[in-house]
Amino acid sequence: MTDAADEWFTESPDDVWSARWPPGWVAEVADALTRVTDRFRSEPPTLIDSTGTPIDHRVLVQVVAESAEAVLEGTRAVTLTTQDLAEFGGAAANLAVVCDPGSAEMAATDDTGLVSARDVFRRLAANVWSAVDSQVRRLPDGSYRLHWRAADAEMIRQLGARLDGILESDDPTIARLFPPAYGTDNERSVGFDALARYELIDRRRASLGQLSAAVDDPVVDAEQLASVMRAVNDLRLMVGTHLDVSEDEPLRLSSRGNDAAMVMAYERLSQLLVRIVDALADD
Amino acid sequence: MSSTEPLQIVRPDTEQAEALDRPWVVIVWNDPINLMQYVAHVFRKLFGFSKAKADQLMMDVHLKGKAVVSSGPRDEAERHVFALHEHGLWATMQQDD
Repeated sequence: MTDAADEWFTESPDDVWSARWPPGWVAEVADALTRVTDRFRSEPPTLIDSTGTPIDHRVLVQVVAESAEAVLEGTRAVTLTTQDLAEFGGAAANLAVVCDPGSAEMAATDDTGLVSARDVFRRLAANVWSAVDSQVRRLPDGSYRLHWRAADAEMIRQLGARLDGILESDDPTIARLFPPAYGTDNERSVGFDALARYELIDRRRASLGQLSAAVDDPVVDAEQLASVMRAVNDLRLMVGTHLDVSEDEPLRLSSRGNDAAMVMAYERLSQLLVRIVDALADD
Repeated sequence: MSSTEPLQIVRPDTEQAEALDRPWVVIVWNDPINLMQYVAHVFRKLFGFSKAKADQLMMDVHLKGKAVVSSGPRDEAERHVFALHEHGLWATMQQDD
């Protein structure tokens, strides 16, 4: 089942989330928690880790107890921060794994009580994570909140400085930012470029500024978000050109030293761009 | 220069007039980097297209290699090309044949 995350969680501008559970849901979670904790207290099923070794029952019972407590807290909480939600989702996912008889890491069990508990925890984890993972949220007042990951700020700072430094150059990695307006009509293209290039450079600088401002203050209005979107796309074009991305081949890590970081940045920028486009398209 | 020289009647150059009338088309070209969703979004935002029309033009760019996104006077085409370049799309303009 795929519930829209928006129906479960709403967020206010100051990073406070409130949950609106579907009818009967809290009782269902409580019931699933009882089933899993009872089972693991009395007769824990055997789970094996990825190396095939059975997991120590005491460890398992401990994980189940802690995860159950976190899920209980999460469902009772009136408000949650993004961090709370991430932990809540993680705990629910843990419980879904320990309740799953089909998991390769678990010896078979025919306990139908655990299977239905697994489905409850799966659904919970999916909804919690989809709320946290939708990195651009539209807030009730019409503004947007961007959720940056820890590594985003440094990646954007570095790439932003790099783009800013070459915007006025003829560096081949920014050729895509200034296409010839009249195609093969070189004379007219040069004429257009003479008029347009500095205006385009100014606008790109303004968008980059908006992007770095949004890293510090992640609540933006629609116009600012559109500017952030253009800057993310500019960085993506620069990185993609650097990586020589082509349509016919999947992106691969080359043997060149710093490209792993560039490939990761490219993937992350692509993801951010899609989230921003989705958020703006919902208007 | 003699003022008695017979007056030359300047005939309108019909070919040139037709050239002035021919609209300028703005073409967006396929490129391997821009995301399809992004391209469709930019079309909607800049030209006010419906989602269906923007998606269709985006698919034309993707599958046929290019699509004409606007047609009109030269100054309007230049504004469109500028806005498309601002959004990082590979756009050019030319006079319709």
